Amino acid sequence: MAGLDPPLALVAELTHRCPLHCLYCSNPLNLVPRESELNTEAWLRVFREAAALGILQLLLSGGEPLARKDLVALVAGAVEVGLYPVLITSGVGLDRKRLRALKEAGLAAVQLSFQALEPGLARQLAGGEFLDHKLRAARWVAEEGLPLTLNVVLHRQNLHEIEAYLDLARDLGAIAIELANTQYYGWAWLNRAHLLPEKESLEAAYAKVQAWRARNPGVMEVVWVVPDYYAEYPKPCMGGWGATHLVVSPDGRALPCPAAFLLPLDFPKVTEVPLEEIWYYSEAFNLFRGTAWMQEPCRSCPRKGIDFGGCRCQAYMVTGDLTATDPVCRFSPWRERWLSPESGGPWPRGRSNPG
Amino acid sequence: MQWNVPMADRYRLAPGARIRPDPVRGGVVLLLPERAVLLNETAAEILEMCQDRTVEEIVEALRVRYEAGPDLEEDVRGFLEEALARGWVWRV
Repeated sequence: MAGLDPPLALVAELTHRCPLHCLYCSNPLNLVPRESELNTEAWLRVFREAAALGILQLLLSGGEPLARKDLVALVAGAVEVGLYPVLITSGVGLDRKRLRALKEAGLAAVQLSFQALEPGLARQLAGGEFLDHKLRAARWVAEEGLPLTLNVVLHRQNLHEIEAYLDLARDLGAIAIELANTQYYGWAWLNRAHLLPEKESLEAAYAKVQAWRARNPGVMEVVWVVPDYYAEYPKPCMGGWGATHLVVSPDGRALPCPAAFLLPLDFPKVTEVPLEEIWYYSEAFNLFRGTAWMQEPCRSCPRKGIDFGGCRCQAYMVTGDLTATDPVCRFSPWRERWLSPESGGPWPRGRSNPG
Repeated sequence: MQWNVPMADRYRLAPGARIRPDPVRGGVVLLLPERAVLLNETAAEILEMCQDRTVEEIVEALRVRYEAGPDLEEDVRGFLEEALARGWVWRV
């Protein structure tokens, strides 16, 4: 495709294995089994092709990437070809020795997730006793001098702890915290009745974030990932379809975004097609590039170059139509039917905590 | 003009920052956790000089190298102010 820029980041979903069992897990409902995972050689080849294609960042993700025994070798191989590897982890499976080995191999940064800080809630959300270990792992990362970002997925059960997450990140010396309101795909979609917050508690949480920012200027970057069901317009998902990111699933399928597994599309495999060909020429990656695929109200909308019609996965999930306007959009005919609290929609009924 | 970047200040690259050539796009990139910035040659040079040098020393080093004009100081301070605001460099 002419005029198309090379991708910036490769999201390498090394495995779907994970010791945690979060209600909102972003992995598909049909997890890739261990025996179908790409081996070390295959990943190293993908990294070489990625670097040659112009990819700069490598997000080592999963599942839990630490479940891969070859993680140090993968990091070393990525650095060798010039990629900037970031480990996206729960911290479970990390020990000091392994962290040092990863650092020596050239790991650039670590993003560590927390589910909650109240022990009972943390146990319930992650499906096990992981909190103390996560706290230790976060300290090790900071002590090793690796840039640390905390990530907390937000939902109705943990929004009230938001200040504690900010304080923890600050006290650990994190460079950033991502307060990521749950995105409703896969498991989160299935469990949405337990996760979707009330508008008032979201607003209260956001006010706390703003007050915290004002009390702690310049301490760290605080990223608030907007809960798009409450937004007026959809998010410009991934900066547009096939615009900046290339995701490779544990079994080698190339996707334009981590949620795209739920779409009825034929995604090419990196074991069969070179990455460059996938990015520039594959049907799946070209399908929703540009604006020619759009229907109304997107087609004539002045915002079509801003949010690109919103998220294709959300549009398909809710409307069954791959080219529909994201139902979050105020111009979508689905919004009233589906998203207004009066309609029932996906919203939780009542205010009780299902936990 | 009132600069936010005093000449005696020292800066260093943000934690995790790596600078390398980008043969695909042509130029130099600054890589940070989950961020990549395409730089022109001078910007890359200024950032690479931030280690252990004051703003004044950076300006002088560039002046010697390029026989630069009178705008040099302003350009360097303007760029560093932006780099600081964007989190590419930290004040030491």
